[in-house]
Amino acid sequence: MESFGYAGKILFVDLTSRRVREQPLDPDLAKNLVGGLGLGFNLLKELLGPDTDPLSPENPLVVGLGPLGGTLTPGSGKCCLTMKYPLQAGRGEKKHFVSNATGGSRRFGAMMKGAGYDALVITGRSEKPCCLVVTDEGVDVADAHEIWGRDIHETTEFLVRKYRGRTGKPGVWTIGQAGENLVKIAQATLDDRNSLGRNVGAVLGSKNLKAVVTLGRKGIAVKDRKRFLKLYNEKRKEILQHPHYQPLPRLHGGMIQHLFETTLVEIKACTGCLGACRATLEAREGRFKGESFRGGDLSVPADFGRRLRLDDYGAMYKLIDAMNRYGLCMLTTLRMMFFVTRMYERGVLTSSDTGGLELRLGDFDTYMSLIEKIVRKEDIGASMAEGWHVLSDRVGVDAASEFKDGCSIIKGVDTLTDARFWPSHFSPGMGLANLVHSKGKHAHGATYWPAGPDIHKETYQPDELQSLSDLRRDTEKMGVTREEMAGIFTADSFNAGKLAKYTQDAEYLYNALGICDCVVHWECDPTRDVPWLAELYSALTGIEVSPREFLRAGERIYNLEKLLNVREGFDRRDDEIPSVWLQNTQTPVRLRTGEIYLRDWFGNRIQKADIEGMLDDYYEERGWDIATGTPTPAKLRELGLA
Amino acid sequence: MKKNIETAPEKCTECMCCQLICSLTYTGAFNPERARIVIDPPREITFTDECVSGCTLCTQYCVYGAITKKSGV
Repeated sequence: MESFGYAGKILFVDLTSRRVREQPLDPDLAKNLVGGLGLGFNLLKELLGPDTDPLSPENPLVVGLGPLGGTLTPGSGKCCLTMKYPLQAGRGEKKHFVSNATGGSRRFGAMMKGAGYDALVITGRSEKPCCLVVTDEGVDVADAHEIWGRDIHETTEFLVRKYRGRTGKPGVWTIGQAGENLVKIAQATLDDRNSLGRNVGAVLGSKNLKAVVTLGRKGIAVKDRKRFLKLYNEKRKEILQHPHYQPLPRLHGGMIQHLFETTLVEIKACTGCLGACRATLEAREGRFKGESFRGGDLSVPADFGRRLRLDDYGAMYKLIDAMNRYGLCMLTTLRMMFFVTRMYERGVLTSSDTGGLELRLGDFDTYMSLIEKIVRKEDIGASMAEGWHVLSDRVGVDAASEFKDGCSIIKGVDTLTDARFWPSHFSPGMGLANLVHSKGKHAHGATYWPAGPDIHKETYQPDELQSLSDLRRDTEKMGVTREEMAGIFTADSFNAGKLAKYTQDAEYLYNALGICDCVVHWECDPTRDVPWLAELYSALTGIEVSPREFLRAGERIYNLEKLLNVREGFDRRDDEIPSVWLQNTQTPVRLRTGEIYLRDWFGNRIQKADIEGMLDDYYEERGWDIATGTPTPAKLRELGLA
Repeated sequence: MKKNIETAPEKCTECMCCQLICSLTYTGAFNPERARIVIDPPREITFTDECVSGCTLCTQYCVYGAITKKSGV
């Protein structure tokens, strides 16, 4: 039977036995769970045992792709990874969450579907370092001795040269030396520049899996090409005519924009993306003048320098480059280096803990040495490599309550942002979703990112919040019904807990479809339009679906993930707000000065009791048990998951 | 090299929009590996022998200026 939109098969590879098998994609499963995350969590439900050690051969890695992946749809390079994570989720507790990472690719996803697969399941442990090569001519567990020990850029370049396709590069997903050494804050990297994802590198390393290469020529069939192109072209026109659209990053002026514009060498995009954001930047002055560095997130260099007091931006680039090459999560590594520096300044840590390094802000060479210590798991680097809770135990100071600068730690993961800085983030879903998400919402990929004050703005402008009517419009565009809207919105307010449920469902739907949810360039992304996506999906696959059914699929996937975490012992107690977010803090450098604190959308201070109320509303809207924060049997029956 | 298309490979972001619209139009499926345009940025962008003479469809789908229709051709 010809498959439209979907490649039609799931690939299973056991690295211990080197056994490879295929399974046809069940059409009913595809309809109910869409793809990507949905396929991933469903496979984990079948394959992952409850007490599995995340770094054991039994922990399956699932790379899932969506039906819109590898099509012209903007941002259709999205790949979803689902697995049990190696990070310790709580202090003194050995439990580990089951969660997902999503990352954009240029060729990886399209080439994997081209090879014929919607999902790739990897289990076992190879006796020797290996590289999995997936093509439409076969699957090969190749020897990786030539690339083991090499960094991410070197490995990618080697594999691109070796497996180059007829019209371009193969897809490459790889770890660096940090993942090989089972560093738990290591990442894996897609197509040289995109993370897939934070804190997953050690699982690939535990399987002796250095990389996965994809290349395929089977193509993705389209059921109704004329309808698909009409829908695509109309949306493309809307994007290109959007007042905030431009093909290169829009960073809202200031230092980041200046650095970007004056140091940009080249830029790359994900599949089908109309707004590239993966830059190569060159140091034009300073100690590293003339060196260029390729990577992704452009906002980080400025953040990096500010925290570590590095005045030479080329030195900032160089440190980020080292993390990108070793395959360390730059966000976590940066924050940990800052944390241990403060502990050193305070005398909690001494040079005997750091292997002789004298930690002080502004010292590039010391930070480069510290990065290497993390990768090699030496001295204090060995504890940093294990994640925040192990580091806290080692230092004797709880980083989660100590870390007051721009993030917090939830379920063992440092969050992308600090909820106190942007009231828009807490109320409409992002802050709340930080608490309730399986791994503590850490970046894009788990919640709705509302239009509102932009993180790159020089000045903090609360009056630039998205209006209530904007919020209402965006919520309608998620496929929420009139009755549900009436439960969320009143004439002059809304219920943040209830809204969070729908934003998460929509986010999971986007990821399941295989499209990007990352609004880097625009404050309003026209592709965040579930009715349009439902039409596009129908044109592509021939499966007619209503926007509400589509959003329900997102809900189904979210519940499936939650079930896996309930089995791991997670409940409402794990969704507690970090105490540090209930304290006042100072605004960061360059933002409006003064004390800031947790506020709702309207600027009113919110405290623990308000958060508990939001959580009650959230669980109630989810149809979950409010006391435990877990799905009820009735909800599971309703979703067909019982 | 096609007479009616100008290439600027250093501007190519590898988004594959050109290959996706090309393959959909000429093979009936999204299949970059069967497209008639070959990308190897920043070195070169070339066209295969199968590339249809006079076709400039790919230029309409590149927002980065890496492939553009030559004026007056």
